[in-house]
Amino acid sequence: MHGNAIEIKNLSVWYGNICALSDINLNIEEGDFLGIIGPNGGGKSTLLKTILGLIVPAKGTITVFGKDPSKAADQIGYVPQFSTFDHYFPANVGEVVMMGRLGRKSSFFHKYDDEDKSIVRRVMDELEVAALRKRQIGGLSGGQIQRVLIARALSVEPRVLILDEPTASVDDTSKLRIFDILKELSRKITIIIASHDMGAVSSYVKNLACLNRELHYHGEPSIGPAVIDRLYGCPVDLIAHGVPHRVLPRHMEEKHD
Amino acid sequence: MIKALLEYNFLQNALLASILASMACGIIGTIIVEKKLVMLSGGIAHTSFGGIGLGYLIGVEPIIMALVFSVSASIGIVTLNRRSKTNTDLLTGMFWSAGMALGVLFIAFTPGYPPDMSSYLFGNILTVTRSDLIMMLSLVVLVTFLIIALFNTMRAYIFDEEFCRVLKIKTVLLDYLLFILIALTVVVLIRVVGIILVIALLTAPPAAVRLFTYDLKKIMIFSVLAGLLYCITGLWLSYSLNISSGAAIILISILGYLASILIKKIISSAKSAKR
Ligand SMILES: Nc1ncnc2c1ncn2[C@@H]1O[C@H](COP(=O)(O)OP(=O)(O)O)[C@@H](O)[C@H]1O
Ligand SMILES: [Mg+2]
Repeated sequence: MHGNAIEIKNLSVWYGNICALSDINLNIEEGDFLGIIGPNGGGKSTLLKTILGLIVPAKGTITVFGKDPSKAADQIGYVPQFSTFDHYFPANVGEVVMMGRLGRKSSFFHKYDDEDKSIVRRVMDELEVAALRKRQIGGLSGGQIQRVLIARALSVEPRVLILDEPTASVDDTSKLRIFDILKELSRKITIIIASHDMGAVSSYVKNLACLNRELHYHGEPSIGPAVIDRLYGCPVDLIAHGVPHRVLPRHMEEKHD
Repeated sequence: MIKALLEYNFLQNALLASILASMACGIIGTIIVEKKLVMLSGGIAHTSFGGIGLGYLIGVEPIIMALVFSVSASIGIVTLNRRSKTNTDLLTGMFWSAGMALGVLFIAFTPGYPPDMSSYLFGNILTVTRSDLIMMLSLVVLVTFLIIALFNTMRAYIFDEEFCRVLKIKTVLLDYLLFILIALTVVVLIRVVGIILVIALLTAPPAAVRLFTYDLKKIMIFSVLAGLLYCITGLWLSYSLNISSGAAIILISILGYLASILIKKIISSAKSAKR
């Protein structure tokens, strides 16, 4: 519909001497709902983190709405993988969602103002977590936590929402609910989601990117066996224990980092 | 004891020291527990022993050199951790023993009769001086002010550093700031419970309080109060039984922790009986 939300040119990322991403070229249109799939260690998280400015690429450029990622914090909402923080931390749901409002003006004696509070109330209603406001985050189910984290990301009021494996540790009902919410959200903002769950992702997204160090495919979510084969077929050592290709989608359901 | 308190200057100093120590350890201790920096804090504390030794050697007030050493250790650990990606655990261990080794070495080099180190190692609240109090007061005011001023940011940073980095909050600065505040707190506590016992006083109050509330602010406030209770009880025991104040305070703290586990058990079984 509009221009590009994110433009990635000749991007390569290395961890020491491991090449995680090699020469990625990818433009993500504003308003897109993009699913990024690929095997374990295929570089999905790395790509998302580079877009977020958490990783500085060795080569190539990324722009987010024309700006360097380091200057685009207020444009991006981020939903990390399930296990990045301590679930017994003493904070309730309302406080966690409110953290999304911190970025713009975190100075001495920072206080959340009425605007912050009304934004947080709105996104909590949207994600159906308003009733959990006073609950300690450790007491939530996997699906509830995930919706709280999406609410926190949205309280930034981003133009792009980035989710890393948001359904990796939730049950099937919660998974469908999360995808329905994302589908609804995608009418307003750009969404990028990395997932191992090829089945669920392909039936919801507008476009699909298949990533295994290189970008093997980018386009409509109807990919043929040839792409799958290239994606999971090479390099061969990424296929665990020589499991035949057709059981791979199930094999990939295993939780990983 | 009340009469003695009015009469003796050293008891008044001890009481003031208890109050200041409780404030620092309640506030920073809570952060240490929630951010899982217990061992790191132990490392910073033990590094300061090197400073105490150096203080004796060069004839500078040992506690001032302890401050210099512990702050340098904090800065060193953060910097090395960022530069070389060595894990903090390892660095902590190195600083911990290097600090102790240096302390022993410096004291051996100090001419004359070797000074008694036990009040630095195990604390002696009954010998806190006026100048100790002034230093403790300034450190506690600084620590309390910074944590109150940065509370929202600090809470988000302790909870989820990666998310803060995504928000482009300067987490590197917060790393340095927090580690330095830990160093200052450790120094505040040295006179009261000593280098070796610091960890228990930092962790026991928040560990007990967090059993009863999920509110970070309340954990801090009630940890200050719990610490105060422990320190004053310990002070009283130490004065009336003539035992080491550090040991008394620490054992009371641990008892306090065990008691809160028991109370928590009783409360939750009472609750489930009601249902
Ligand atoms: N912090 C890191 N240090 C070293 N190697 C890493 C690091 N993070 C990821 N890698 C490597 O980079 C590659 C891509 O990982 P990642 O982006 O996490 O893939 P995915 O999210 O698709 O599973 C893998 O080979 C992984 O081992
Ligand atoms: Mg990943």
